[in-house]
Amino acid sequence: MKRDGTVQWLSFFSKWGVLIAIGLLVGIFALLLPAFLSPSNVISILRSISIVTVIAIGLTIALAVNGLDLSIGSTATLASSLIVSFFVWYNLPFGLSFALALVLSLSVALVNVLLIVKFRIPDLVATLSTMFIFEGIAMTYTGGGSISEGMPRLDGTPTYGKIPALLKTLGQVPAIILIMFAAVIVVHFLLQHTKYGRLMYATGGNMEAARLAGIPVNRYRTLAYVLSSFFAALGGILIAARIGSAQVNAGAGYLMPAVAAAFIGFSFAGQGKPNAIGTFAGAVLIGVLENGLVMMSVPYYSMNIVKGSILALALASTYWHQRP
Amino acid sequence: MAHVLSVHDLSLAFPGVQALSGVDAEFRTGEVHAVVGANGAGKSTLMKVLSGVYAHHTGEIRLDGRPVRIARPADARELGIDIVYQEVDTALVPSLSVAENIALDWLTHGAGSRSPWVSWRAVHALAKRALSTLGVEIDVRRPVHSLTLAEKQLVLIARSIVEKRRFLILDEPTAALSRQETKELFRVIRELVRRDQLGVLFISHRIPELYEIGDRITIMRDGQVVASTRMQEIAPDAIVQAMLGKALSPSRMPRGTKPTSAQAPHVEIRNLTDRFGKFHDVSLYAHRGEVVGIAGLVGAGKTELCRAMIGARPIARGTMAVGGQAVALRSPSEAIRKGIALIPEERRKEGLWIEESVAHNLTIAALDALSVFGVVRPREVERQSDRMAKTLSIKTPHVGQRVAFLSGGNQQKVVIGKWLMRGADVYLFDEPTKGVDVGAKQEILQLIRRLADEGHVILYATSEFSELLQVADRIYVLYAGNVVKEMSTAEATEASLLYHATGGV
Repeated sequence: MKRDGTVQWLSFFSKWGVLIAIGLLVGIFALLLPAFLSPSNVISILRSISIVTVIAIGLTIALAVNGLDLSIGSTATLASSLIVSFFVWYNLPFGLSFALALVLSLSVALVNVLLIVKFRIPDLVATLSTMFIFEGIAMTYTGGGSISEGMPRLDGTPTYGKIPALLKTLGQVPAIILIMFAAVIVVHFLLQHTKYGRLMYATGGNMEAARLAGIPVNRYRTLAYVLSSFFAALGGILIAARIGSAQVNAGAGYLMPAVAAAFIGFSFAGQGKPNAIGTFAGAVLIGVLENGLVMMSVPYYSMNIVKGSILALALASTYWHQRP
Repeated sequence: MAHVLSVHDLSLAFPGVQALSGVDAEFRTGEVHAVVGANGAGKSTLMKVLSGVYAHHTGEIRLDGRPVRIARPADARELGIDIVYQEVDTALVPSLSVAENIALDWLTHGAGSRSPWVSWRAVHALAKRALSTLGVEIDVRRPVHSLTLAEKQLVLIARSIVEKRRFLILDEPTAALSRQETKELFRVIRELVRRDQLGVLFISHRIPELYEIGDRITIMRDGQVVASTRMQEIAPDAIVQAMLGKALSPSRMPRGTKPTSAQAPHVEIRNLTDRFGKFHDVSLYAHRGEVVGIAGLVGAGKTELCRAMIGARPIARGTMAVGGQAVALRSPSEAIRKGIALIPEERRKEGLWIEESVAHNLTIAALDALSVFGVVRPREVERQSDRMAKTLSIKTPHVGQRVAFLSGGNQQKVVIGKWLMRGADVYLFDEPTKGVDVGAKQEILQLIRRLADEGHVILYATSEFSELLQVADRIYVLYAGNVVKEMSTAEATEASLLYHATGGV
């Protein structure tokens, strides 16, 4: 009986651990820091996690088909470089730039699919190589430097293009937070309530069974990688909107927090698989922790110790009680 | 001098099963001793006792009359007894070379383990010596994953004779080998027996080949030795008789609808040939309302044939038509659109999502009908799953239960239910009663009969021949990838099926 009790406690913790951790952290920070729960700080936390969440949401879809996508950081970099260059170098209108940046960034997905689905390279190493390839392509495209308003082109000719106010608005509160919520809700709906989501989970859960059940598994895997790249590109555009320029390797820093958020979200509500709400909760956990620690004057360079430890804890709670 | 390995009054029980009861047997060096028996007769268990896998037996093992204790595989090797299992891949390291695989035991606990350095010259010399003892030519630098199954077997035999051996146990070594490869293996075995006075214990389902290679034969049934004699003193039909004992006569489930001879067959397969050589020129047909059995032993090519019939395995040539229309066997999704569904042998690996609910598993192939504009209707999913669970009497508290918690029989019903939910025309069953208890087995057989009576086509592949006698209308017998016999169930007996499935000599 005692054993049963322990098991129940453990399963309760692994189910709701993320929420409990968020609650505990919020409680502690609120006690120590009076300004922590002020509306402006809450909004600031949400804003700070919005880009990570959008990128992590895409990764969640890749994880749903049991794929891993490490190229999302490079995809974000590529999208941010493209959209800023379209404005500054080519003076293209907003809608066209936005659409072109998204569509061109999906080329990452095409290469990923080619390597993973066609050549059957394990996802981890396949996307590791596309991560390098597209990081290099983005850098080569920008000549190894950043792009901002008024900066001359690579060949030295002056530029007159402006970054439209609309893009900058997308990077501000409330737009950026609304985009984040929209992404979470749309993907939650896709994965939980549509046929396509079910079949993606079925593919990820048991690919052989899915294939023998007549599910076109390669089609769903392709779709998942395309969506993963799509949200990474959207995240990249938000990065450009936020900082108003294209910076070298701007997306690279979002890879690890996005991976962490998605994995922390696995155990959310006992699902034991990647899910949109869980990913959001994971991002909130990381955001709360980061914000509170910054306010407590923990130096930024020590932050990764804490973030990494949280990820390790979350993974332990997901995998620990799993037995074959 | 010849050595004698003998067991006396050997018994071994597992929870709920008496695997061996009072076995007496004697094996000599310098001979090939065939050990045969039907599924579950205890032959593999006996071999595992002799090789030190199971130590919790009663009774005695003696070597040259002296009692010996074999509690671990290392004890067996110490006495000069080694085993090569049928699943060769579990014993090999695929990424390492032939030489390293042959020298593996030598490197880990043989003479080669005494130094921290690996002498590649010694390893290669050792491997070459072992292979040349067998009279086999394999480049010792090749990685093992590039070898054929037959070559892998020879590598394992080479490994086990690196050390001086008295007895070598081969567990169904020929099950997956071609005729040519089998000949080569037999040549190697004869060589070892004649020249090195090795004693070979040889397990096989193929009776004709036993006459080629065996000196003596021991026949087991229900955990006991029922006969042991010199090979030439027993006829093939006597072997089959002894394996089966008094045949159980299960109650026939007669065909519901009478065949109308005018009708063309609904399913027609012509000259279907596997790209990897596991079956050749298989031609068969099946009418609506018919249960057509595909009888064959392990390794006969049943599973490969079933997978090819839904496009999950590439074919070299041949055609399949359903309802007069050709089916391009390119992918399972295409086959299923044509109404062909497979209930696979490895149900947990290939048919189920163990961690998901019963409802999820039942509806996964039928989501089109259960969703509106791509949005799944959860109430409908639950309603339909409930209905299906009742129809098939799946024992589960509710359809939200995870499939992992269900018994084997109920899991199998879920796999079948998945297809009933979607609706198919042709159902392929591959060993559907494997790991299923007796009660559920009868239910599944009745379900299969009912499906046929409703006008579906059933192809039923199994090595449990008694089930075919119960439920099938017509039976094809598969042996080494070829259809060797077609007969109506009325003229079939378990003995005749076994006779043809073992090569029919």
